[in-house]
Amino acid sequence: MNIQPTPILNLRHIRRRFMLGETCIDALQSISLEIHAGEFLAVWGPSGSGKSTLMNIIGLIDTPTEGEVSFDGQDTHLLIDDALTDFRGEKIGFVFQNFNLVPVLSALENVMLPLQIQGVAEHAARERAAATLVDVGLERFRDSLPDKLSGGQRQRVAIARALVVNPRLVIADEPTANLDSENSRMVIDLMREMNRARKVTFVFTTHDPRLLEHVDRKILLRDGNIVSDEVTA
Amino acid sequence: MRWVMFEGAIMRRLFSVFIFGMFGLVNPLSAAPDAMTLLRHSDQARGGGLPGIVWEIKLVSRDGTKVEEPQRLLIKAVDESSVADTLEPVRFKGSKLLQVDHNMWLTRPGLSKPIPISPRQRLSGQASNGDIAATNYAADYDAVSADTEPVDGEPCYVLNLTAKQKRVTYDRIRYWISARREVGVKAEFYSVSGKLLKTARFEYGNVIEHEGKRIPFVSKMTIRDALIDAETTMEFGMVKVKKIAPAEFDLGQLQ
Amino acid sequence: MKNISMKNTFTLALRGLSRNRRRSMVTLLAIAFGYSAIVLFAGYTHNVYGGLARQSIYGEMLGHLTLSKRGMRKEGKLDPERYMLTSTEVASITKLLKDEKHIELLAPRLGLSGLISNGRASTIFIADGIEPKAVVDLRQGGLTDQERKSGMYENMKMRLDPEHSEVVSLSEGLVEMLHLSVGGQAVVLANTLTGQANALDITLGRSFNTGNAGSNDKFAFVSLALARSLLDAEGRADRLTILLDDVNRTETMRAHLQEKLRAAGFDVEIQNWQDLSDFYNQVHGMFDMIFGFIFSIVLTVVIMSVANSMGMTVVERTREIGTLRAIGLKRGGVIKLFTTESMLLTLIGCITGLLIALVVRWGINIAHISYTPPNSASAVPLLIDLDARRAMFTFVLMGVVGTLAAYMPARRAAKKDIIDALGHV
Repeated sequence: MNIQPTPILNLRHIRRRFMLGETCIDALQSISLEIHAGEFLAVWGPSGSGKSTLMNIIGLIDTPTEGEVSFDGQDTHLLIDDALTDFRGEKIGFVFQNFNLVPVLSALENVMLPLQIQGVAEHAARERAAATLVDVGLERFRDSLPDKLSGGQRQRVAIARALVVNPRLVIADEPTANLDSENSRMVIDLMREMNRARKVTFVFTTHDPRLLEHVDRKILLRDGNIVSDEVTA
Repeated sequence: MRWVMFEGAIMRRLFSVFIFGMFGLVNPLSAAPDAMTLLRHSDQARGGGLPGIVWEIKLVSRDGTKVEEPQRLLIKAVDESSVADTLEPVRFKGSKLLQVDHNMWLTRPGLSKPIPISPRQRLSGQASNGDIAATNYAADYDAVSADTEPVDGEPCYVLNLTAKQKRVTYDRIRYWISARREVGVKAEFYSVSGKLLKTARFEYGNVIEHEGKRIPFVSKMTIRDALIDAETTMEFGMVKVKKIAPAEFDLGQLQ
Repeated sequence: MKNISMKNTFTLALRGLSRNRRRSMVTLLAIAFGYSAIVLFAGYTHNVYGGLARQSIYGEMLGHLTLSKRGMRKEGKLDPERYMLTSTEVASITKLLKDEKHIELLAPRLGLSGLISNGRASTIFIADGIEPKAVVDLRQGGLTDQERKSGMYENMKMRLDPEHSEVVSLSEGLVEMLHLSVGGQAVVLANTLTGQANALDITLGRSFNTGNAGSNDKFAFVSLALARSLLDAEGRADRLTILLDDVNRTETMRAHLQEKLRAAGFDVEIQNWQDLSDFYNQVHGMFDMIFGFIFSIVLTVVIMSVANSMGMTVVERTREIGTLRAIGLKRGGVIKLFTTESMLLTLIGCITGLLIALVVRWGINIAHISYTPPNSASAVPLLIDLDARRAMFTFVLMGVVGTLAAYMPARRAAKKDIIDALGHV
């Protein structure tokens, strides 16, 4: 486990307030957190604890109502939307609970997508995507459409898509929630391997106790606050 | 005294014509007076050369089988100008047709301005009658003696009249002038192309007095259209020689 | 700043269309049929205009250009003598223009009016005096090769007799009123230019239908010689009809001849056939209006179809949009993606529409349908041309409109917060 002195992600006094009509709800009350490069950590807690909201803020797809976020030393809350989007596309990969693959694109094309969005030339994108698919063990399914793949295979494609840009951080929100136990195990093993081999930081939320067994660090949230932050192993 | 001699001269002339005519040796033309003089005399019987003349006309027109409502007009004329005032039918009373030079105007009570009548409109209708009834051929036409020919048994000189200028409506007129009375009894009106357009017959039952002389004056005019079956008859009455003021022919004062 | 390339946008947009095949197809067909309707109607009107042009130039014997003394159009009606071309002018102008290589025919014309009589009754008439040879030259230009061979040429009703200047063509109403038959005699009565009464014998050659109830009992065609004789206007004309070798040269020739004649000292004005043909202008105007109407309707349908289709697509793909935004697609990129999709849809729709139009056009042209248009005595073939200019213009406009119709829905999608989009069910 490599822990570097400068955290890859630094959250300071994060509050996230939502207005629901007249009432306001603080999904996150006051979160301060540091995540270092190469960590394999989980955020867990009961429903409504604010896990997804925290993930969104870490993933830079949401901005806090109060507080600061720095990613790789960059104060992201100061960036305008277009700059933030670029930053995110370059540095963060996403794995979703319901896979979110584009149904009309093949596995390979789905994996090429983040590269194409960044303006990478098609044939270079194709090469890199193909290599990443090999890494997740799906080179045989490169031309298959998502509806032809099993849940586990789809999630692996999603992981490949998240990894193809060589991100600093991968965010996975309940990645095993829609998978059976065998596929869950496969996906967990894959993520672990990718974390070790590529030194990519993984942060995910989960209910799944088996996943929690494999992580290096567990952060427990309740009612929008961190109640515990354990480093295991 | 002079009158008796005058009559005698004519009788002698007729007698010689008769005698010589019997032997076919007479050249009628050699005995004929000058054409233009004849023309001027005949014009007088229809109002030319007089200081002014006033008369009434009863006019009846027929177009095919349709007979139009008869009209009664009061005419005042001097040389080139004439004005015809409608007396009957009563509802048209006050309508006037004015001719000055070769221009024609119509006016009616209620009209704010007189209407000029174009040459085209004189091709038919009352305006064309006005053209025919014009008095002064001597001013508008050059006369050349052509022939002699009797009309209703009356020996006549036949003159060919050609228009002096191009604004005169009828380019040529063939005019029969009675040898004895020196009045025009028949006229044929021709177009530029030489086509016969109208024929007119004249009777001279009226008599007017001027400068001590008694002059025969037209009493009836019958105009027949050569192209369509139409005829107009005009009866002249109440003829008086009278000086007419130029103001009567003033367009501005027409109403 | 990194941006998704145009090529990638295109590829993605194209794939996006297959997301909901049925909807894309329906929208595409709506666009296709709308476009083909416009192309077919434009082609039909193009053909009609061509036919009308020929009818005006050759059939109505307007020729391409009409030359008259300046002022003839307005003041000339009341004072024709003054505004008529003198015989010297007619001769000089004819000589001056003899060597113009694009002029096929120069015909003096003389209009007049008067009374026509059958011996019992008379009625007014309005006539156009023209050389018999010019009638043939003018009218035969309007026949297609097919018609010329069929003998229609022989039948052209308005023929005057070059040997007999007294032979005239009268409109059917006139013939009926005067109870004339072919070969029958009548007399025309008119005033010369100076106002003298004039009359000439005429013989009825042929009768014709003016196509207009108001003029069908007044109009006549007479030989130029007869008109000149009746008006006592030797060598004169009130206008010269000029026939060119190519209708497309009309405007340039007009300017050229106007200049040439003015430079030579003739105070003339030259009008082209469009200025003078009321019928052409009215029909042209009416068809343009109908085209505009159809065009607007089709455009509205296209806008609504595309906006509706894209609106639904965007809503359905909200989660996908959220995902794309998360993995680095900027707001502008989202808009570009969807507007490109709708642009492609419109373009493909128009191309399909064009193909449909071409097939339908081929079918109709082969079918040899004919119909009798208003104001016409005979049937004309129903043909559809290809009006390339209008087709191109419509293509471009529809492309623009189709692209823009997606803009609002796309913008709405791009503006949505990522977390809301991802959370969309």
